[in-house]
Amino acid sequence: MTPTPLLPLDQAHNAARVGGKAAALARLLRQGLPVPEGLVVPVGTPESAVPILVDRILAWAEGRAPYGLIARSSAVAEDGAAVSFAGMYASRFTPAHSGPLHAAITEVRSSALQPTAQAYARAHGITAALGMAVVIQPALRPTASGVLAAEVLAGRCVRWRIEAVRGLAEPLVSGTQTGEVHSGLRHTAHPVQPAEQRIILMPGAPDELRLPPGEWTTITGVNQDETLAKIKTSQEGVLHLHTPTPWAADPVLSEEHRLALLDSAVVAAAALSLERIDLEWAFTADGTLHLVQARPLTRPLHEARATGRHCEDGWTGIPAVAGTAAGPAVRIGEGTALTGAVLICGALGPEAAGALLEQPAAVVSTTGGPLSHTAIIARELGIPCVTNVKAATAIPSARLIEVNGTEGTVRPVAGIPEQRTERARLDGAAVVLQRLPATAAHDGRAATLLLHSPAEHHPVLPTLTASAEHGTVGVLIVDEDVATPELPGFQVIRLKSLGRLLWPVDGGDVPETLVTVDPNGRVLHSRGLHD
Amino acid sequence: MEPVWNGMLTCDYERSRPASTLLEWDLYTTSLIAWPRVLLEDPTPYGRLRRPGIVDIDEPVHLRLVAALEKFLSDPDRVRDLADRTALHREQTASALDQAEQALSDRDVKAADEAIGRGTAAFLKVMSAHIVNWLLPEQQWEDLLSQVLSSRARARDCTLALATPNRTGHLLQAHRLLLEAAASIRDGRPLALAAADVSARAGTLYGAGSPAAAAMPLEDPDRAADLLRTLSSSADPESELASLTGSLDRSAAVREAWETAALLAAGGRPGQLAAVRALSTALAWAADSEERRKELRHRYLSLVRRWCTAREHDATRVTTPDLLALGDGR
Repeated sequence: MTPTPLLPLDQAHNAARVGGKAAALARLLRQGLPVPEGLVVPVGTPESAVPILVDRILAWAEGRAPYGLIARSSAVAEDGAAVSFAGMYASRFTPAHSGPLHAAITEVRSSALQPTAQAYARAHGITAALGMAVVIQPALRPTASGVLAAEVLAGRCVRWRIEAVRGLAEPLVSGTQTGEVHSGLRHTAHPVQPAEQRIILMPGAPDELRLPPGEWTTITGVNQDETLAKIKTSQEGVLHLHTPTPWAADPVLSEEHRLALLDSAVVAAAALSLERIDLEWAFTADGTLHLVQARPLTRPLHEARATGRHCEDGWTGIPAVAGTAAGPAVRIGEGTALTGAVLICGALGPEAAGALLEQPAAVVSTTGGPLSHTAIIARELGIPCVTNVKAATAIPSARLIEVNGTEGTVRPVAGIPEQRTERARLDGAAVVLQRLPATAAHDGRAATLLLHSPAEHHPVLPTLTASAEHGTVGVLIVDEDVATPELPGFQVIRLKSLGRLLWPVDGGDVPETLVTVDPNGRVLHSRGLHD
Repeated sequence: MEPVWNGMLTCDYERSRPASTLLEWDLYTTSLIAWPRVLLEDPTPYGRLRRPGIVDIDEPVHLRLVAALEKFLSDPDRVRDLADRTALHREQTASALDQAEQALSDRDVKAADEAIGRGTAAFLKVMSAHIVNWLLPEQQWEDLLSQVLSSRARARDCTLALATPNRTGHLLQAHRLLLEAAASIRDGRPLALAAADVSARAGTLYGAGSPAAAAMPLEDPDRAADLLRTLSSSADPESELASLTGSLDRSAAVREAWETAALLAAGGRPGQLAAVRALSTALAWAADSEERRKELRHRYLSLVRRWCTAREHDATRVTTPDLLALGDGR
């Protein structure tokens, strides 16, 4: 019996057998570009043959894969000139053990049958079966990785965009993290946009993967600087590490890295006969650049949507104080008046109380939740607030932003929208309160109902004086098990589904609508007397 | 809290509070492990200490206790009882700290030891009430209010308004003290007296970090006097006080309006009515726990630091077992 072929990556010529990704990588390898070595499980390999291949892969991986292996999709239609299938198929990190490796290969192969991939294929007029090969490579432990999109002309990148994160690029590609952005046009490099990366993903060595969250492990940065990083968790062979504090403000890539990437893009584009190229790349601790994927850029660069979240999309956090307001972003200590502005801050101390009394329009905090001290002081002062907007540090001062404290969102706006107050129309309604205010409201209400609370002994029951000042005043008892208070001059009216009402015998008809209003007169809730 | 890993959750104060002393970590981890006993009278420990600052909790224990907490917080009578017990623990802490302060001032070492031991035991219970803020069933409450008020946005607005403390939060309370002191100086009160008062009542709250290892700036009455001198001569403390009081009255009115709205909406459905009363009490309790705990924590840490100085102990190495052993607190 002929052994089932397992192709070395550098011999993966035939895209119909090895898929688009493997074929492109093989071409780069043949041009001497730095592609990690690998093996290919070809299209059409029967499932029964996989166990034998797994044994052969593991023998090959001996001594090559200190951080395990990665099984990557390489579909026949993948990485084409018109369609990329980017993000449609699976890639899996796996320890170099037979069971997990077999499972990873099976999972990658079966990702060809995923409904999203099939729908994508149909949408692009691909009706043939989606043949799937699998590329197996040693997992890299990158110091930095990312994507590069470039338009290449006359041996030079004339327009480019690089997005980089520390560690693996997966969170960048999936859009859960914002990478450091380098971009440029011809000879001009635009200012670098910093990354927003709180978690670094890296393949782990077996002893690291046995460490529980909270332990420390040593990692190497792009400048070969070693530091300790705390483990957040680990799963499927990948460590999730909290970004070490000293690294948080450091750039991910140097200019030297950027130039090396652009040079590689030019060579790779030539090797693949492309004018627009999309590369995935990684630097490892020894400073080596690795190209892990290359494909045609299927859209012009200026249309390519950035991965990750960016300023234009706005930011989300935790709703902390209801209300919407807009104003220019300011920070304490900038010498700018806070009145009508949006205060960007971290956790506030009592020193900030005076500033908050200047009545900023809203507060955006980088930390905390709805019960944090910042949220509570904003609530006490009636200032809309969103907390835990980690990326708020990147909001430039003076930029106009709108804060929605109910939704927990912050977004840039072109102007400050006019504030509208929903004044209630109370004509004919009874307003339900827990206590009578010091001064009577003249808002057109037909009556005031005091809500009787069994625990707090509210309300102070209406008196003739109160009724004289506040108009008709009754008592609403919504608790079934509360005794009806004796109140001379009041009758008890049983409501169909709301409890009982103590109503002045000379109070006339009971209003059909009951409402509650906030101090601005906005109706918070309304219901019919017999609902 | 880190995500579940091998059937275990990890609470890592070593990461979230890297500058803490051993005592600060101890206060968090000890009270975290003890919250089921303090809140629910359930003796099950919430996890185990891996090392100072890190607690590991088995997922089944976590799930069972969080479900028990959710059920507990849906009963208005039990929530009121919890709020009363928490207030009692705060009073016990404050009383012990007053006595320890007096004993330190009198150089009565034995009385100071005993009061700090009692204060530590009481304060750990205050911390237990605060520490479960992040375990509150906020989503379930929002779901319930969405049903009651027929709107997710209104439910969220209502939940947020209900999370207003019953008593002024510590940031505005400290600022109010400062403004009142500044106003009193304009009325002729001696600066030194006003400064000493501010320093004693709010001095531990101003400044970055905590007073565990080093004094906060306004613990020094001279620094408080400098601030008050500036405030009383350049600002208008009276109108600022009036503005502050107006805002506080308004936020209390907003809270009451939303509570009334939710009760009116739930009226006629006894189960929902009870649940709304319970969550309303629980949210105010949680906000109060957050605010009052902060004041007591800073006061406690400052006092222990000064006690360490008097007793020639290292304030960065002292632990809760050391302090509990001083009194009858164990």
